[in-house]
Formats: sequence, structure tokens, C-alpha cells
Amino acid sequence: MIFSAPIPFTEALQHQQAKKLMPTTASAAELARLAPEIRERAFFSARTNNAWYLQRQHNLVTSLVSPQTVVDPATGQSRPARPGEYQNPAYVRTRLKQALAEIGYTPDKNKRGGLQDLGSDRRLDLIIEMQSGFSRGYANELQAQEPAILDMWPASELYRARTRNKRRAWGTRWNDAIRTLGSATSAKPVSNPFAESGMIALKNDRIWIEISAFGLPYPPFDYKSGMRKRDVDRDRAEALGVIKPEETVAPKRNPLNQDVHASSPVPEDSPLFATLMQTLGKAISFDGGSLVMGAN
Amino acid sequence: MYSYEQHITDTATPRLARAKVAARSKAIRSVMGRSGANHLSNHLEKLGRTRHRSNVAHNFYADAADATSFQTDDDGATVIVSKAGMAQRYHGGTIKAINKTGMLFIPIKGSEAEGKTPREFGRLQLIINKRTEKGVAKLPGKAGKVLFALVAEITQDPDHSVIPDDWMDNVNADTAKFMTRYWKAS
Repeated sequence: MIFSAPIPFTEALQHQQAKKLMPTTASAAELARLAPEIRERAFFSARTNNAWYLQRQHNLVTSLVSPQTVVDPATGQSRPARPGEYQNPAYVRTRLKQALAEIGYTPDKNKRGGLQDLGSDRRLDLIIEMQSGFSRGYANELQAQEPAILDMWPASELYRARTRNKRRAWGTRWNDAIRTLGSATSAKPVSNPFAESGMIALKNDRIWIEISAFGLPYPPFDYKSGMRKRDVDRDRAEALGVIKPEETVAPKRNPLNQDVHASSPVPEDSPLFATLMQTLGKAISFDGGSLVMGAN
Repeated sequence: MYSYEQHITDTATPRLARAKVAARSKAIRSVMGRSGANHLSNHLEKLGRTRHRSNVAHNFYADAADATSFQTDDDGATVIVSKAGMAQRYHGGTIKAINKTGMLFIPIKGSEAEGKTPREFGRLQLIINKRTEKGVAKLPGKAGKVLFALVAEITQDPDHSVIPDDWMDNVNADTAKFMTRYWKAS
């Protein structure tokens, strides 16, 4: 039976709703130094410290991930979307441009149109793709953690799902990760440095985190990356020697609704520490020697 | 005259009973759901490669593939594509404008308007024939390019090819495979 009434992608919606807004003046490179556990639970955009605009971004991306839900602009509460309110990427981009106009944003002349221009198509498309991608990637990973699914499809394959003009050497990255992990990974090396499939490892193998530019075990694995993970069934995984016939994969769950403690990327007594805490804003505190982000 | 006596040990009934229990189990429902999501997602990805035009920033079908998931309930599993526009493609139907102009803005194929909204172009000149309720939206000026076709409503045919023909066959095959494994193990 095919339904026409909208059904939410619950796990992806939960991922969005668990995120804490983190207005920040930090650059992308500075934010990349934060622990993945913190970045995973925070909604931020490099050098975007206007909380109202960031909230607007969050609301719109949430509507994109779960089109049947919108955050009512008048009340700030989630409610079912009405006809004409279902979001697509172009409408999200347009509404973000309108929001920037409302706060009087004008880009630096030298940065206009580039990634550092908050209102450029390049930047807004990247935000939309990455933020919705993380929520869907997380949700897909969480759904795979059912013991029956891990038994039937114990491994995943890294493969190219979307074409890109510039392609990264994923084969090289895969092989480097295997070298780094040694016996801690089930993955086998590939011969092609630009391999676009055939990179297979157990579902909860450490290699998925190792190949990710963001330290997360699910896609997107890098900015604008067209690579995704797909299930590999037991027969194929066994034939490749990734898993033994009676071996099972233990589920790994990653609840986002808990406080997270992570080490600071800079020493507490360094001059950079105060700047770091200032750039991260109120979403993160420093307690007992570690950065703390409370559950939303 | 021969007499024939057959003793039958009924192994089928308990096996069927077990199969019935297994079919109701969360494990089977999860496998059915995941299988359905995987096969549909693969199909949508293929559509993303064949139907997407490279000048458009966002690939609708590839995005739909990423938005494919499942959920289980007491009766079975439901595969979900959480993407605005997907149900419209499958079911078809009439879309009516509810904006101030009373017109739908349909990007001209191959133009820079594809994948964009009218507002992203700033001021547009609208030329509307009130009798036919059709028109165009163009950039201002005599030589201004036509970017959008305008219509009051549009009716789209259903497109059942957004779901693979062999979808249920593949889901059944995966489920049978899992049941066999479950059967052997128990």
C-alpha cells in the first residue's frame, strides 16, 4: 500500500531537535578542532554569531529534513506543515537570504559570492547539504543498529552516490586509515587511489570515523562529498573475509540527549583558551578540566 | 490385496507456527523495512543519475535517496521518503497557486531559473494573459530573459516509475533469506 499522508523521518528529526544552537565567531578551521561529540550536538555555522539568524537556519533545515513539520514563525513552536509550507532546498536558500536582509547583512566586497559571504549561493547550498546530510546520515546509522539488521547486513560499503567534478582520492584515504588502525580494523585495502566502490568494512568498524573529516561514522564524510555508505549482506561480507560465519556485530547506539564532556583543543592555561571560550559562546562551559555541552 | 499404512509426523505445522511467530517478530519487520528502504534508495539514486540536469544545484532524486528510511509497527514495516514532492510524483495531481500573484512559477528548462525561486532574481517583470491565465516572468528590460512560465494551476500525471518494479520481489527475497537463517539457527 502506498500512503500519501506524510510520515516523519523520526530519527533525523530527533537529531535536529537534539542540537543546541551555538552562535560563534570561530572559523571553520577553529571549529574543526572541537571534539566530534560536541560538534555532533551543536548547530553552528562558521563565523555566524547572530543567534536569531542561526535559529532561523535551524528551523528551516529541520523543515527540510522533516517536511511535514514546520516551526511556526509566530509562535516558535513545531506544528504540521500546511500546503505551500513544504520546504525544498531552493526555498530554504531564499528564506535564509531574506533573513540575512532582515538583519541588515552585507558581505565584504572582496568576499562576495564566496564561502565567507553568509548570503552566497555557494555557502547556503553547502549549509543546506551538510546540515540535512548529517541528520539523515545519523538517522540511517541509528536505524542500522537493530541486531537483526546487523546480522543480515553486518558490513557497509563506501561508494560514490553522487557525481562530482572534482573527486577526492578516497582509495588513498581508505588505505591510510587501514595503516593507522592496523589490526583494529576489518577493512581490506583497495588498489585504486580514486576507488569509488569496493571499500568495505564492518558496520561499527573504527574506519568509518577515521576516514571522516568530521570524526563521525556516517556521511557526509567530507565537505560536498558524494560518497555514501550502503549495506553489504552477510554472504558478501563473509566471502570478502570481513566477518566470520558465526560472528556477530554488536550494536552501537549514540544517544544525543545526554550531556557531553570533551577535552579542550587548546590547553587551559594557554592564551588561546580565553578566546576559544569567547568564540564558542554560551552553549559550552568549562568544568572539571573539560568542555561541557548540556543536553538540549 | 495390499494394505498401506503411512505414519505422518507433522513437522509442517510447528514450523509454520514458528514462521508465523517469526514473521510477527520485530527482527523480521526490521529486516523487511531496511530491505525496502535499501532497494528504494538504490533506485532513487539511479534516477538521480539519469534524470538530474547538472545545471541544477540540488539533485531531487539523490536527495530523496538520502531521505529514505523505514519504521516498524505491530503490523509490519513502512518505508518512508521524507522529501517534499515525492508523493506528488508518485500520485500526480493538481497543484494550485496560493501566492499573491495567483500564479505558479515554473522555471524554463535549461535556464538559470532551474533550481531557484523567483525571489532570488529580485525584480521580475510579469506578463500575464488574463483570458488564458498563462504568462511569463522575465528579467526587466526589452532584452530581459524569460525565466519562468506562469500558470494558475498544473496537473501532473502519476509517475509510478519512481518506485522500482521489482521492489517487493527484492524485499521478499531478503526476508526469505533472513527467515531461512533464523530457521536454521533456531
